[in-house]
Amino acid sequence: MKELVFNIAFLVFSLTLYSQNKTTVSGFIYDKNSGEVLIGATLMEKKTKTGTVSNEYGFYSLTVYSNDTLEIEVTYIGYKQLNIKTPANQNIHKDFNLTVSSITLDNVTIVASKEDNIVKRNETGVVRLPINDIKTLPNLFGEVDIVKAYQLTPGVQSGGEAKSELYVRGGSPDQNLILLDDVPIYYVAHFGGFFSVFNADAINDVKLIKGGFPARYGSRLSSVLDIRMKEGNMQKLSVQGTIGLLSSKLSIEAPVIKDKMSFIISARKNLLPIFKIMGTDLSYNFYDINAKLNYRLSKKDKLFLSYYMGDDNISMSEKTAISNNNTTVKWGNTLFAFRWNHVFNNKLFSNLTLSNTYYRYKNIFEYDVKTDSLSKRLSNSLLTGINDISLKLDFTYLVNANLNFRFGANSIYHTFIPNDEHFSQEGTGLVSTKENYSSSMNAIENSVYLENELKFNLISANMGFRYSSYHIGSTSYYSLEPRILLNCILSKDFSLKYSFSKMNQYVHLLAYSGVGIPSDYWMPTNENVKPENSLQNTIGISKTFQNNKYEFSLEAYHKTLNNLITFLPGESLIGNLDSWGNVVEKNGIGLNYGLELFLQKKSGKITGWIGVTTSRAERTFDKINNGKSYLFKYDRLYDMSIVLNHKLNDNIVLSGTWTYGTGYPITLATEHYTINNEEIFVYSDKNFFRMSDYHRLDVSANFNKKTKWGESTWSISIFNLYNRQNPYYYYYDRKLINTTSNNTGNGYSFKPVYGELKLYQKSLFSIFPSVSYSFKF
Amino acid sequence: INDAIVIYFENGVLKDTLKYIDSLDMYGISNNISDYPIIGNTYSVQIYKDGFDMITSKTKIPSKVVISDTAIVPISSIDETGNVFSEISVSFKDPAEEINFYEIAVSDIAFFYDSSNYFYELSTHDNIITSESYYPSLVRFDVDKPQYLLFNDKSINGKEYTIRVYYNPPQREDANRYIANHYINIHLRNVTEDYYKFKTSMIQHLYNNEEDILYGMGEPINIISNINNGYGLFAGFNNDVVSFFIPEQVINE
Repeated sequence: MKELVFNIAFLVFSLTLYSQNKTTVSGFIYDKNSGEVLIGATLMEKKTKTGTVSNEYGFYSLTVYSNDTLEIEVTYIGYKQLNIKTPANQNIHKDFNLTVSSITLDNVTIVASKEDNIVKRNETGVVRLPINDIKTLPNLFGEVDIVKAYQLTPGVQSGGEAKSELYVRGGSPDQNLILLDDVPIYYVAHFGGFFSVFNADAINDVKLIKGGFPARYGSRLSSVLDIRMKEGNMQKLSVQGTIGLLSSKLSIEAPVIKDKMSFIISARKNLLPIFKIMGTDLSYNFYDINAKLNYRLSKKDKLFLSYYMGDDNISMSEKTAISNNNTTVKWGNTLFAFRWNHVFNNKLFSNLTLSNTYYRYKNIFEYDVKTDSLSKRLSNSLLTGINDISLKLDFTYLVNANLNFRFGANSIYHTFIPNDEHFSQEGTGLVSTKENYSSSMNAIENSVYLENELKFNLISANMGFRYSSYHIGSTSYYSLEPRILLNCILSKDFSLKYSFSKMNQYVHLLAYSGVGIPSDYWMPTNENVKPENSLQNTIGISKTFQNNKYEFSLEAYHKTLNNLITFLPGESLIGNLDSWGNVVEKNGIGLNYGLELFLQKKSGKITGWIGVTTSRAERTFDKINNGKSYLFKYDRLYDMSIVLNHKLNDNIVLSGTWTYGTGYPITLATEHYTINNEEIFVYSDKNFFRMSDYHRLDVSANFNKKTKWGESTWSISIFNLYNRQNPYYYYYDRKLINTTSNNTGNGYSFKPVYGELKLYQKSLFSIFPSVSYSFKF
Repeated sequence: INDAIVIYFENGVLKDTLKYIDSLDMYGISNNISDYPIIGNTYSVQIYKDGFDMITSKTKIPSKVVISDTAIVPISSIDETGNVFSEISVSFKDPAEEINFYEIAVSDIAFFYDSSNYFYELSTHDNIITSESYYPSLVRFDVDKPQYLLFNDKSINGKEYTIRVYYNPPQREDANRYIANHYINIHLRNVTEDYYKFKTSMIQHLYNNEEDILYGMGEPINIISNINNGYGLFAGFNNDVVSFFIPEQVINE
């Protein structure tokens, strides 16, 4: 309540103060060549030093109190600065089109924003990496991976060698709200977790939020990865593609009606039968398609249709003269969104999103046999998934450069499909059977939020709350989630920040560990399983150096997680769906805290960052580890990443990344015995031991060439340059040893015997070169 | 340890003191070997040894569930490598009044394999077993199938039920390929909950100890034991066995 009174007082104060002559300039900021919106571009009125930043739709509104002619400067990293003059005392709609700067031009054109720098931004735990920088980073199999780039920032873990998952500040992947054009996506990896599903060619902007969550975000505990797809080139047909070792991709974007309507379609597919090459009988393929249609209905209205579909498919087939046996596992997402941006006036902007996101995991087994005397057919299919239909309405009210409000509401209709199983059999000696067992549960999740952003010389803030409700059957839960962020700007290049966030999560993930192929079961909160929640406090300092070329932040966080669930040891969901609450351990607690240092060089020929983290992540469940706290599986005491991009000239970019991390916790046996000649191990404390430390150096070189028809790029990467054998997993084994005995006078005999029981380390990737070829015209 | 004191009780009454038998390298009942445990009775053990905590455990003998019908299809399918799979169907009636746990096993009666304890690896498509936590999922192509199929009666309580399981019979080859002559025992065991938990957790334990570059390593699982201050299992089961002779037959490919 105190917070509310405080905010109202600020609002009244600021409205009174500025009830003078004013000019409001509003509109969108675009890339001139493609017509793509520029998110986070800065506008600054030079005389009054009043500034603002374009929002996630490229919209801005700048209100200036002055009777003089306004001198507005528009900047965006990597683009030429734009300056305009406009008369005062009127409301103006003005769209800006910025031009990409060339590296050979003066550095002045490629500066980091003066207004939108880390000191002034009302953010804690937010990381933005430019897509173009991500594309030049070293990669594996020639696959540019957005998620892997963010793993190199402090507080983010990968979850294992070359994995494309996000473990943020001790949270698990299900606690990340991953938004593709404002729509949550549930499973984000291809190829058993080694590549993310996001095709960088179709992405315009990415932002990761680890703490200090604005009230507009909710539904997950640990992070928000906000990904915005490109809208499609409004000016001309543009085609780009990549041929890589693992997959190839092609993107086409073009205007349908110039400056009015455009589309982008981007598709990616693996071409090589990688598992066949590795000598297995498995057939594997994946694909994804991103598509978007963008229509500028008027200066005040924009419509968007976004679509994503991606699947992984792994199968094994045995075909003989009499029988046919097929096993297939498929998993993937389909996502659809319709969005309508409407500018009510030069201060009020809205976005309506109607969306559907569907994650599914499918096991299909088919078997038939036919002989002279026998004919049989069996089939079994199992589907698990989650299907959400969502309606979301967001408003941004930009009162002036120092005060804005965001408010909105969201309603999600969840359909949980833990198990949809079909079994049929027919044939000789079989009772013809068709059995369907389908379980689905529906739940409604609603939320409203209000946040306001205040900016003054010495202090600025983003404060708000989110109120959510959840209904399943006759059970309901309600939650008030306050969000506070304070930014004390102690000097123009130094600030002290504090944030507090309460987050609530109504969907739970049950996943089997240790299996490369996903087997994710999304389960609802119900009368027995409570919603998960987290409380996170962050305090930090931010500093810029050398005219904002360098940004530095040091943040400490403390995060508690409540009502976590996990499988009881040895239990699984299959066969227990009706009573799934009995096979999980509930009311788990997580405690995560750490210190993160992030030094980023954002402009110039050499860009990059150093990220250092020291952290601790623990879990406690009554029936696991005898009720004692244990380290989270991806706890890392120390973690460090160094990333460098060096633009030698317009044609060559060199890049290198080095990562170091304390080994992940692991459970090892403390005793062993035998039963029927089987070696049995006794595991005592969970995650008590640690793997050996992890470190790796990757390098890449990107050779760009401008041609008559467009642009081509050869990218050469070397993964794990110094061939470090990093731990993937550990296992116990007794190796066979050949023993020799001298049979007196009858030569020698050789006999293999099992040696001593030892713990062995398995590594996954040694030094691995990759090459890919990209083109664009 | 061969000098521990092992005391054995029936329904809480001292029944015997087990002696260490050197030739078998185990402790055994000294009374008449035909003195079988009785259905419904509770049996317990206490083990003492200087320097160790006392070990205790107890169990109950489950009732017998009889095999009402069996059938064999010697050549049910042939995989790509030419391996033949035989199908066995086992029918039984689950007692309605009690919670039951079962184990199905198929052993070779020392005709083809040189061991009377040779148990075939078994697979099944039956949901009652494939839905068990321990049964390897369809995508675990890398692991051997279990030799014992355990299941509970949650979904079949009080019903007559037929389960089909598959095993890979012995084969021989000259100009043709044959399923070899072999005798098998089909076992249907009514087991205790402790036995079921021990065996299922043991199967998972062994699977999760197997390393595979594709699948990685599973989360380590301790075997569930009913031994206080020790490891392993103290339990019995009630076994019904049907024997079959499968004559040699040519595999027509």
